[in-house]
Amino acid sequence: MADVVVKDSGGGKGKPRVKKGAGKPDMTPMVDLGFLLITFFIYTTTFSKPNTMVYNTPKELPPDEVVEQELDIKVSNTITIILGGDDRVFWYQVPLKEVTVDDLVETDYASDGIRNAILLKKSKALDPDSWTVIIKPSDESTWKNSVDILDEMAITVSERKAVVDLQQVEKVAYYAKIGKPIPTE
Amino acid sequence: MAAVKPKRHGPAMDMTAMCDVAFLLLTFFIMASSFKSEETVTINTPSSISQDLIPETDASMVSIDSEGRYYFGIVDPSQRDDFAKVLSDKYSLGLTNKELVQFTTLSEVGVPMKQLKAYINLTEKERESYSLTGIPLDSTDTEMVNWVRTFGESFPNSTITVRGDGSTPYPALRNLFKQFGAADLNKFKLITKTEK
Repeated sequence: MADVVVKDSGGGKGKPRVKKGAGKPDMTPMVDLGFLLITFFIYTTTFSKPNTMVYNTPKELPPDEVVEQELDIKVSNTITIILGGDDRVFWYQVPLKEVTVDDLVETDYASDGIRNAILLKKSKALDPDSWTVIIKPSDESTWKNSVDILDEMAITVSERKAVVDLQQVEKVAYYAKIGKPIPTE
Repeated sequence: MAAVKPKRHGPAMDMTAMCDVAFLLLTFFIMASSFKSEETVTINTPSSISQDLIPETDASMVSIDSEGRYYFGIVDPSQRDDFAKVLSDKYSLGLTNKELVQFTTLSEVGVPMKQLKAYINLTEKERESYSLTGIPLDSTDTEMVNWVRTFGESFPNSTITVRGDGSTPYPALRNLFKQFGAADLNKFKLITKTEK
């Protein structure tokens, strides 16, 4: 430990003493205090700010203003992704009305799972400008699943995307695929 | 004959450099920190690759816990009392100035407006054990929309951020976007963690 050297003041008489240095203050308590405060600040700080993802929902029109839009999206320019329960995910690329249990392909959220499927289908799209991803979260899926898929949209640069509910025909196929009865509302 | 032992000194270390480092770090942390508000509910958000940071001001935050209950919060603590004043006047909740100040310490509110006054007056301990019902948001009662609307009226150009727990079932979110969509609120920012 550094000691404070007290200057000897043994009277004015006698031989002149060797002049001693001013001495070092003991820094230990100051260091202690410094680290105590650092610890306190680390614990009370929200260190990393969360980040955000832009998500816009379509404007809801009153029923009398809804115009049946002739949506000319070719099936080959789309992929439909069904988010299932227990972190399972399925995709298909057939017209909505014709979807059956055999059309659903199961994959996973790993980088070589759904991302590969999206990229493969995107590369085969006839018209890449109108490439559209349709996301259909089932009632059993979690919020994490939706965010993961929206994230994949950013990764695969699929700007045209739609989040919609499962249709009856898809429900039939999906619940047959996972081997569960269709829940009744 | 016993040898005379030389007087031993403990090893002395120069603390000056260490002290310098400690205070340098301390200064850094003081500058970089913003204090946590009292957390009402723990929400574990999913992660994404997004790089946009959450806006520091003018942002309301709708949180959804894993049970599907809705909470309302404001990101910037300095805007909370202004908002509470407007809310109190608009819906005649009768909050006093002291209660408005107390409101600024809450990072989110999980009780309907009618219970807000009583909730603010609880002590911190009592609040922990208070059974939160969440703010109603369904087809019969869209109170959450009123909270967000009021915030939008007090702070124009504000954004709505949505902070959902990763394990929240999707129907709770579908309901949120549906009810907000019906109220003509279509722009959201989803709060996520940074991808590891």
